Amino acid sequence: MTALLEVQNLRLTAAGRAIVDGVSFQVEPGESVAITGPSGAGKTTLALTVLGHLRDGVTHDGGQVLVDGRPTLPQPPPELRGGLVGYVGQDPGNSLNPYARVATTLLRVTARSVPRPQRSALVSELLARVGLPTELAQRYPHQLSGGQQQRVVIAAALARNPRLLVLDEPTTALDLVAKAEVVAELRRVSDAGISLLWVTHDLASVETVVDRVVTIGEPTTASYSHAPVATAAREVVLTATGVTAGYGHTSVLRAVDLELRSGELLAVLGASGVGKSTLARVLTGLHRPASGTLAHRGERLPWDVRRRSRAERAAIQLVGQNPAEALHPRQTVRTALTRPLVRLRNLPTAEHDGEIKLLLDAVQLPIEVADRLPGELSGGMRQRVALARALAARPEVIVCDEITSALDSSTQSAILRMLDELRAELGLAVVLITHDADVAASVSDRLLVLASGRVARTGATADLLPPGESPEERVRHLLIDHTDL
Amino acid sequence: MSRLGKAGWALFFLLLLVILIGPAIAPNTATHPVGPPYAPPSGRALLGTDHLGRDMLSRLLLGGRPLLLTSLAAAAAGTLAGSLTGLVAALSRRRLGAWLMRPLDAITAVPPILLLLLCLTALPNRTGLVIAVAITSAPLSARVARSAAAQVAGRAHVENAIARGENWSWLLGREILPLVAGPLLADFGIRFVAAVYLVAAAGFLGLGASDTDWGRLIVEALPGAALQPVALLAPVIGVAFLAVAANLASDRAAQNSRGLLA
Amino acid sequence: MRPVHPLLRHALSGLAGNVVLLAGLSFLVFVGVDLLPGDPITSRLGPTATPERIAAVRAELGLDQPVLTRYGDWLAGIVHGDLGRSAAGQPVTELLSGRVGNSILLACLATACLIPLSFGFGLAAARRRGRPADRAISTGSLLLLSVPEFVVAGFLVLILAIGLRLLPAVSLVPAGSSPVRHSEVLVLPVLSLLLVGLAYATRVIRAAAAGTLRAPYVEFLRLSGQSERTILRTAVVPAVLPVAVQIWLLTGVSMIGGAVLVEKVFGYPGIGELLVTSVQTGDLAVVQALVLVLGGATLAVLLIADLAMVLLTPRLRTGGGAE
Repeated sequence: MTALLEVQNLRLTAAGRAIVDGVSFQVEPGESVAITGPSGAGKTTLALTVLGHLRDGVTHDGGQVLVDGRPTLPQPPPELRGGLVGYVGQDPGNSLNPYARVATTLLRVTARSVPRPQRSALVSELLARVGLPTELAQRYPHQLSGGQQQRVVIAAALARNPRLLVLDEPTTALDLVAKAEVVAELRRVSDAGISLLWVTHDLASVETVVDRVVTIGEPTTASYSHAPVATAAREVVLTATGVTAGYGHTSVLRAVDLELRSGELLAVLGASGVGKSTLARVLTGLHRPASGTLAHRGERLPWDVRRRSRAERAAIQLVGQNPAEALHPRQTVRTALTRPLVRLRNLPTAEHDGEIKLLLDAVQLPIEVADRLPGELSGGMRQRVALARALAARPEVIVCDEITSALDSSTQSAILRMLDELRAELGLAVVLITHDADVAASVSDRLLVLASGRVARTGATADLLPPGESPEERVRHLLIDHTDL
Repeated sequence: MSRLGKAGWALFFLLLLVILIGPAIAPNTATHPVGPPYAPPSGRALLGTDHLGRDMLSRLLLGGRPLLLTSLAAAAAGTLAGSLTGLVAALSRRRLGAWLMRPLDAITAVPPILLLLLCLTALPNRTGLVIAVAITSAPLSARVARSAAAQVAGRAHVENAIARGENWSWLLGREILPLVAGPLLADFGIRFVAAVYLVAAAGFLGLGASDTDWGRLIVEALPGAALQPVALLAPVIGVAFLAVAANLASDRAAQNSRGLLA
Repeated sequence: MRPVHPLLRHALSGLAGNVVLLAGLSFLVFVGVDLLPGDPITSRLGPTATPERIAAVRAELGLDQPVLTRYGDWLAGIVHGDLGRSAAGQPVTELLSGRVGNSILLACLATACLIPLSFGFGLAAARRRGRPADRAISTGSLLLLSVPEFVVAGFLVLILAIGLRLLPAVSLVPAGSSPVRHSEVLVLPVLSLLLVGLAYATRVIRAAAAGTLRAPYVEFLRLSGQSERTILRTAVVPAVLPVAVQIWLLTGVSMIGGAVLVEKVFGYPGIGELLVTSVQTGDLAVVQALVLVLGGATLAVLLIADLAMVLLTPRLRTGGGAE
């Protein structure tokens, strides 16, 4: 029996660099396989070659991809795309034609002319297959939720009864509820005997669906975890009470209370759009809340950072999400680190060089980095520099807003480990804002779960996310319990 | 595109040179007749003569510099005024920004050529011309500056600078201007192209920067174009070359400034 | 409250905004011009004019009144359809009546040619991105983009009228006759206007189409086995159309501006020619009236372009997304 999909020693290059270097594997009919690997390992590029598609700039450099015994490169067989192989992409919001209604999109992919009276029945059937009601047929993509959009994409991919579905991170852009929806749908597809080729960076969520895992590129390092510290006895450094904040007339945060003790790591966990970043900006004085108070060691702090004293500004530092924007593209690392020494610590010029070396040491960067521009550094290195810049102020509190979400998993765990060590050495209190339950579970002492702008749960991490259970599942339960209350 | 861009720059600088030294190398004066009207090109007048028998080559060489300098001055004035308004609008509070930008939006509703004509009717001289062109270009420059600065102002490193208490001169001079200078320069190129167009058009209407303005040479040569086509061809090619070269150069500047924020 | 249809809401708010803008424009046109340095009377009469003479002309033109009073009178006249009087005492409305049609004819003909040509060239270039056909179209339009219409007109006169003797160099239309009767006089003016507008519209449409062809949803359609033809028809054209309609309308209205100079080149009897003559004789009243009328027309077209965009974009038409 021939394999449904056979990848033979495939080599793909882009800009003179091999992005897929001699990958081979097979998928048997009815079998489901996950492809995993660090970001930049060419997972998506590999998946697209199964459909005979090379993105701009990618060249086929050797090897072959066979679907049902026929090669897909350089030209796929005519009935392959949409016929034999269906495709589901990463971001459902961008996968659907925004100018066509759901029914039109679905009818078009069936690629056969359907008499007018039978059309609505066919569309209803295709929607029913992915558990969506008929009413959605007349909607445009922007009138659907993320989970619904992705299920419409799956319906379109299934419309011509393919034998293989290529899934490129189909749940990455979705929130927790939509993700569960889509994973359940794909499990049903797999149970119906259709093979899946599932590209993912997050094995935990696909484990229950796939039969086998293929890893390409460098293996990812194990994620980091730390021993929680008992902090109850330590003094409180930062207290926020009743924070309500928003933009214009919409409030994003509602009556949020938060307490931070010295040396503790508090994780603020929540899905995208619940106001986590707003909380970070409120605490660091960049966004003025509508109401609420903030106190630093019992002293009331003004909300606006411009009204805070030098010591107060230095005490709370922010490290942001996007390493690309964190540093000025035309200023060297040295300038970035010197300014806080001048403005916040009033350090004499003679001591700058020594201090910069100490700071770069602390974030495990070589001293040579000091004279580089941010453009010459990788995302992980920039994020370390941003952290060093925050440390340069000698803060008591560092607010980290999704500092690892733009990084691949090995860099992510290295940064988290470093943060944890710095905290132990310097007695820093850290507010770690994240959407990733695994990250929160692995490094935090206490947890604060945000849902629709409110504090849904707060408590010791060990109690809320006991080891041995999937943190993501636990968080979902916590949130569902909360909505029942 | 980059080969075309380089050719554009080369052509642009060559033209600049010819135009700037033009009045010095002109063989005759602009007003003195050297032969019969509409005489074809000859040894005495390389590009022939115009309807009054004046030397076309000299008139062309004498007319370039005022056209170029007036366009430059007008584009610089417009870009400067517009950029300042745009930067202030982007960095100040939202309501003040809107109030600064709104009158400028009203101006963009009028085709530039009409604004030019309006200003020239009221003030028919070179100052009027510069003011008119500056008025038409300022609103567009303001928009460019505002959106470029707004993109930069929200970046994490600027907020970080605000949070560590940097003063205005550092914020504007060190954090924001280095990042918006590229787009502003590219915008100046575009304004210059538009200014050449308008100044030449004013010349065409007889209200230009000088009596030998290239636009004016075109309109004077039109009636006799059948007799002396070179008199029409020469200024037409001159304006077209200047416009195209300026456009290619500004297009290249715009491409270079892109990707800076990526 | 009954929900207002998003399109109607858009139209109403746009209309209100336009009325405010038009009022602001009229103020700028009248009072702003008065604030310009220099004085129209002295610059017209020359430095040798005696103060008595200047005062006399001033009183004759009503310039001795305060500017706001004059503005009020002028505005009141316009509201009643009276655009004022020219320096020679003729009502501006009368001056315009015979010419408006001719100018509109010119702009409409040029726009009618512009629409299919720019759409075809723009899409063709985008589909062949980076290949010779695209380079030719992109380079050609970049070169043509910056050249003033009257210079293009000059070239056309040299090539088509003088070189090849195909067409008349001057649009002589006998008094009382319409240019439609003498269609040969229309060719050069229309062509001059078209070429520059075409360069701009083609570039914008090419950029929009090229962007759409790289969009993830086009990749998804390709990966679902849709043919390039179907993708072009169902995904690219709908995405480009809102942009294209805006550009066509904007270029159409900007042709009125370009027409001012082109009409002068060919002696074509439109409002452009009247405007130019008025500028040259310093007839401020006529120029102000024309600027206001054309500015109003531009605002109206901008509003239509805005509404067309809303109408052609599902996300805007249906009023935002699902929560």
